[in-house]
Amino acid sequence: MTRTLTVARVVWLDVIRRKDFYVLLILMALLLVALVSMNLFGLGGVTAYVADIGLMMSWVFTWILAISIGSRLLPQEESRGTIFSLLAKPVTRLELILGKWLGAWSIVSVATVLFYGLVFAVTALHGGRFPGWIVLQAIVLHAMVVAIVCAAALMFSTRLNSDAAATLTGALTATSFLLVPRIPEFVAQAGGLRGGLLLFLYNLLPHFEIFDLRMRVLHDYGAVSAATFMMVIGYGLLVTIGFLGLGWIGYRGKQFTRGSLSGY
Amino acid sequence: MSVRRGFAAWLVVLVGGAFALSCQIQARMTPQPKDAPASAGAALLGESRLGLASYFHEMADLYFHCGVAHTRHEAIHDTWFQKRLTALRPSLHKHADRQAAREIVAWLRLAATMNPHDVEIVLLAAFWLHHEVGERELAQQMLKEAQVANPFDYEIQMERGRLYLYGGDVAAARARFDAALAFWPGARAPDNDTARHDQARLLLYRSLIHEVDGERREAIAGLREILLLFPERTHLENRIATLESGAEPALLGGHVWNNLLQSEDERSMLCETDADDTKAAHVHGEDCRH
Repeated sequence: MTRTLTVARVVWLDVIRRKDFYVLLILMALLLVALVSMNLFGLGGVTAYVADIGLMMSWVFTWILAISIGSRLLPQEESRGTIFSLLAKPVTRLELILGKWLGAWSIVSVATVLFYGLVFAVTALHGGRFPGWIVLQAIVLHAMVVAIVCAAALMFSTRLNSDAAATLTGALTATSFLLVPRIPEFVAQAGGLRGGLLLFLYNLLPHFEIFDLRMRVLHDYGAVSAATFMMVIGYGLLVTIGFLGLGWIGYRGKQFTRGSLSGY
Repeated sequence: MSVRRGFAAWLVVLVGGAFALSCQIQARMTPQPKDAPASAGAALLGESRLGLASYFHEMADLYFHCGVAHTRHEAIHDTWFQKRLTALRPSLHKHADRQAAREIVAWLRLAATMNPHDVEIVLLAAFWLHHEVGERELAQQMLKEAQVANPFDYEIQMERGRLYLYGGDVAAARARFDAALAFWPGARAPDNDTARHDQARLLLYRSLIHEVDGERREAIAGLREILLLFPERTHLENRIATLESGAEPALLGGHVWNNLLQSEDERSMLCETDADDTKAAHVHGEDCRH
């Protein structure tokens, strides 16, 4: 456990050194300032659209951040050659993967909290009100999505270089975000083999739509029941463990040769 | 050396002069064509503005239904994920209150900014601004802005005329209805159903204003034109007969158009429930929950 935490700490130091999420925070602040400075006929108290667009951008930014951090951690060690000294230490490959995932997930989750804080602070400054406990549930479920995306990126990066891993993770998660929730609708129009293939994808790919509480937050529908909330978290944990497990299976027998890693 | 310096000084003066002249010419040039991007934002977004406009329009609809998305026809039901979604997402079919109406207008405003040539969005925004937010002047302002982007659109003129009638400015309404009739049918074919009904509406408003202004002959001519368009509207024959006999007081026109404005706007508030297959439509009230 301590070794896993140590690996996670090193990930934190690396990301802070690269100033990745400072750039995203600045972008987010600029976006919100631009939105709020728009004068919609001078109608006072109109803030929901600011929060809505701000939350949507938070999802997009954290998605990008999770993929970019998660997919480069292992290939970076290999391209620098530091993987040899790392594996020479008493750290198992499973601990290495878990540590990298924990570091990436915790960084992006903190960024998520900051994004939400920024969105609701700017909304509150302009007359909006804080929606209550439902925001905490929304952040926790958002962090679950981050966990899945980081795990998927790490899984791909165990066998691919960082660019390929990022591309595949992006394609997989974007499909899950955009296509999977609408598959039941598409199956109604597609028959036979296409319908069967769609159903296969529906059951195979992760369902991110159940983690998205934005509409509930913005329209003040109150907190989700504890049973449903825990079930969704349980599903998120299962998918995360599944991706990390596949990553570990791909990584445990991987051979590293000096001089063959420059492509990373 | 001094020749070079003199040449350089002249060159600087010439370049400066050319720059100043180009600025002057640029400032006096005619505005850019209608469809060219008018701002840095528009230039940056390009044609994706249309997609964004459509997205913002959908968001307005979603806010109208308080976050509840439209029901879609799905081939599979009651999967584990669908059950969780039902529990997690807003599901009560209810409609926006006055404060939420302001939020809807914000989305429509954004949609209209992204695609100022989509007249339907502008008309919808004007309707919400006037009826739900109570800002008739702002509705007029939005329609005026849309008129700049769509100078020959009869629907914008008609809506402006209706808003002026609401405000009691009959002269301004008359001018707008005249302009609308001149621009009719716009992009639509003259035999298009919507265009024909709109023409009949315009003629009726115009006829009522003629009536109020004491122009009985023009009022009758307008009603006869409607009868040519829709011969089944036989009730207009009684009205024409009344006007021809000179028995009707001129003030009745104002009473009729008030009823007309109200009934048209009530029809605009019709909600099609998508909970059942019958698509029954009804007018929503404050206590309406389905």
